Amino acid sequence: MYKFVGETGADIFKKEIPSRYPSMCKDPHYRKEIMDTLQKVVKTMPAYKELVFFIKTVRDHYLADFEADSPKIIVLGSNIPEELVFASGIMPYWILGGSRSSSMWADDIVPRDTDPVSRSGLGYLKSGFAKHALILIPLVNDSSRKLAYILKTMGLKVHTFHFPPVKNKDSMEEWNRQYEACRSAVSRHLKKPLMERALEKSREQIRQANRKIHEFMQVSEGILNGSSRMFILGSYYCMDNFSEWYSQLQCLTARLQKEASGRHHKSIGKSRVLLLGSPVYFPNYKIPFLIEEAGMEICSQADYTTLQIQAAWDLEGDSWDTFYSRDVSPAYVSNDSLYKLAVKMVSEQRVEGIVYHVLKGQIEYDFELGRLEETFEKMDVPVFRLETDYNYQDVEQLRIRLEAFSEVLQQKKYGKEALAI
Amino acid sequence: MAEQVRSNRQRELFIKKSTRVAASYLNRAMALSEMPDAAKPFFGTLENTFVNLRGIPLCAENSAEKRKTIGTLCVMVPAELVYAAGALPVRLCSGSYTAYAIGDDYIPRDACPLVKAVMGFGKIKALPVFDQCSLLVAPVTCDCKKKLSGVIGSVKNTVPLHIPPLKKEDADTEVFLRELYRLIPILEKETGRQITPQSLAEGIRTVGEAQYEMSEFLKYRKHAPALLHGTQVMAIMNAYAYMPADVWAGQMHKLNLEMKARLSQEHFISRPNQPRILVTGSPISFPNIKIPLLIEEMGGILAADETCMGERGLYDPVSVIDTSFDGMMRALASRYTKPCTCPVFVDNSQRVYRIKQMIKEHRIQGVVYHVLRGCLVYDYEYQIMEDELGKLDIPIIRVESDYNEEDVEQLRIRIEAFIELIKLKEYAKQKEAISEHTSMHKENVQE
Repeated sequence: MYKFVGETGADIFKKEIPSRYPSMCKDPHYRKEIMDTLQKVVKTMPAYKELVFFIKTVRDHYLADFEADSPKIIVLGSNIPEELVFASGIMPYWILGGSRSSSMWADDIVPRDTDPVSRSGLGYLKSGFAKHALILIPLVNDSSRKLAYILKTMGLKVHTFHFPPVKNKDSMEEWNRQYEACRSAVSRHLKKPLMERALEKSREQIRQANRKIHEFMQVSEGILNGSSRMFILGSYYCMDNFSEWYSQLQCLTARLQKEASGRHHKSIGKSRVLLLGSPVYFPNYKIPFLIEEAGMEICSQADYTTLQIQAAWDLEGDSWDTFYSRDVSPAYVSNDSLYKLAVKMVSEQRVEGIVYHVLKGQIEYDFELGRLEETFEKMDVPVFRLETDYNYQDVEQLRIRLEAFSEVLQQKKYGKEALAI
Repeated sequence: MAEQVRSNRQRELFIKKSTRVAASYLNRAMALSEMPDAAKPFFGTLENTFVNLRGIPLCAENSAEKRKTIGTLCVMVPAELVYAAGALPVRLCSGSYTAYAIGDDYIPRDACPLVKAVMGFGKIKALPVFDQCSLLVAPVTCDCKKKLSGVIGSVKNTVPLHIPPLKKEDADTEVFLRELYRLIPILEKETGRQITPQSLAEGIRTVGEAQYEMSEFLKYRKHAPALLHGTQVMAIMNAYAYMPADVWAGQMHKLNLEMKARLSQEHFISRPNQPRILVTGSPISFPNIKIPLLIEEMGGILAADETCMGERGLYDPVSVIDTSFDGMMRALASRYTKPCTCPVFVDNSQRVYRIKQMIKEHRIQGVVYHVLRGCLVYDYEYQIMEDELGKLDIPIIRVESDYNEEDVEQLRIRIEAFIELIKLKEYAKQKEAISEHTSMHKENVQE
């Protein structure tokens, strides 16, 4: 017989984590996907020894074998304030969800139209290494809500962090409540109190790292290409030792500064594009590779994951709840923060074109496009929307479209120069 | 000038097409056998709204009352608060195929059709009920509605209403309570009337009456063989969105009397062995009632529905324990989140319980799971529903549809096959029962 309304015990839906899924690093398709992208990124990088650390960090993160030691805290996506985990003295295992192989592992439990990022995240967690971890899930869209429930029914330990969709005084209060609840959940799970002093120390470390990342982004322009810079930024979510990562970034920035003083700008003549829309996560670097192959230069990436770790905002008067106020994820009714920042970036960084990347199923980005398109049209900056998923079938079609866009930007540039002459 | 001419032409075409579609669905629903006389006013409301394109009389400029109309986009906006402010709530979740086509130009391709239809009405300004609304309260539920409340602000004064994604803890209800308190001055400013404890109590009483009549009606709806068609029930429930609650309740009372008479006369509209089907999933908003119509035209009986435009909207009454203003507000916040089985909540196991309960009470033999294209939250819950109903040996079919008539024939074939399957299953069960009975009889004779 079945149970009726009022009966408790949601564990009737409890499912065991399937054991037929091998440890992710042992899946040959997954390994190949990681190694192929890694090799492709490395090929375009200059031979600096300071880059080795970042390459190893990313490789070890994605090919980690958890049989001996599984992570204690897993963060799905990038919308959880890092200090909530850093303050405990351990590093979280971030799952951003960029793998095509892992997205296929979740095919049988999510609807057809689910976005590949959510699929990939679920695929990773389904592989079984999260059995003893606390999974922190920011509730920013429909998929994250439903994923949280699916993971709970699998018997995993999940804590959700809700982002109120309208930013105002009340919602800030609610976000603070969510912050405190998350702090307690982490503390309970690790059986360790998260003291305010430790949190403040972590926040300060994060602020310093943000400034350093911002500096790196400025220095590396023209020396490293867009996908390499994207890769270094992405390694933030792969690190297992914050201080080491920070000092390595310092070394790399210093080296780049040295190199910058004695060389010409490598990408002169290339059209500068801003990559907006759905975040690009390793190893799905299909779009940045195509943009570069089409002869354009990615001068910046303006998505919520990348912008959150850069000091792209004015950090004056920074307080701990600014994570919420400066969040530019599409979790909001009206994403004014992204709008303002994108306009600022376009006007300050000599952007010549916008590539607006929409991953299939991430409908919120499409909603946000209209307003941005209108503004950029007034600023005389062409916007190119491309829709894709993690499959490779559309690569040639995208290549042709991007090449055409590149030509448009070049023609526009020549036209302007001719007019000036 | 040319733009104006083009816009007028588009408007004319829109009116012609949308009224034709609405009239066609109304006629098909009314043509189902033996429609109760008391159901006619509900159909009249839908006809006035979608075919004759008239606004709500009470709210017309020339009416004596001239009440304000507040548009809502979901069942999670407390109608009681709107009544307490002296206005009339109108649910604008639309099923218009024509408005959907207009909205397609302003809303991303993969968004759900309901959101496109709402935007379409906002842009074309040809539905008086929509245009009468001076304010739109848009709960931030799913991604599409969240983003719609951002973009529809360009055509209608809109207030987003934050719905917490969790509902178990009291703190989650508190979040919604704060949102309701935030809504009060906005409604008061819009209507020019203050929400007092008395007016709020009156609002709760008004909606409560409608809920009472609905609960009475459900007793008749559960009867097998059926006393009226489920498609007509869906139309009646949709009419609630465009009628004052007291008027709707009054008419519902008459319908209940008619149902009572039908029951005593054993006046049924279905055969005892007609497959009884429950429809659940994405909202079924008039005029998009093609799924209920197809079920009943193909020989099934739509015995129950678990949708927000159907029973869910009026199922749970507000239970006021503390009669102070804050007590009533808390009761409202609790009623509009805790029992709600909308899949926008993280943990929605309640929905499975509710459907199982309905299956038992309504003697359901099969479930049609309706997914509007782009409605991801309902799609996510399909698998769990399939697993749970599989344990009960209740067949379930997922039908994905859009706001157009192109998929009707394909849906017809699938629904027809589903009904055949239920029939065959029932025959097999009967056969098994007979053979068991015969073998028992033989054993008894041998003994």
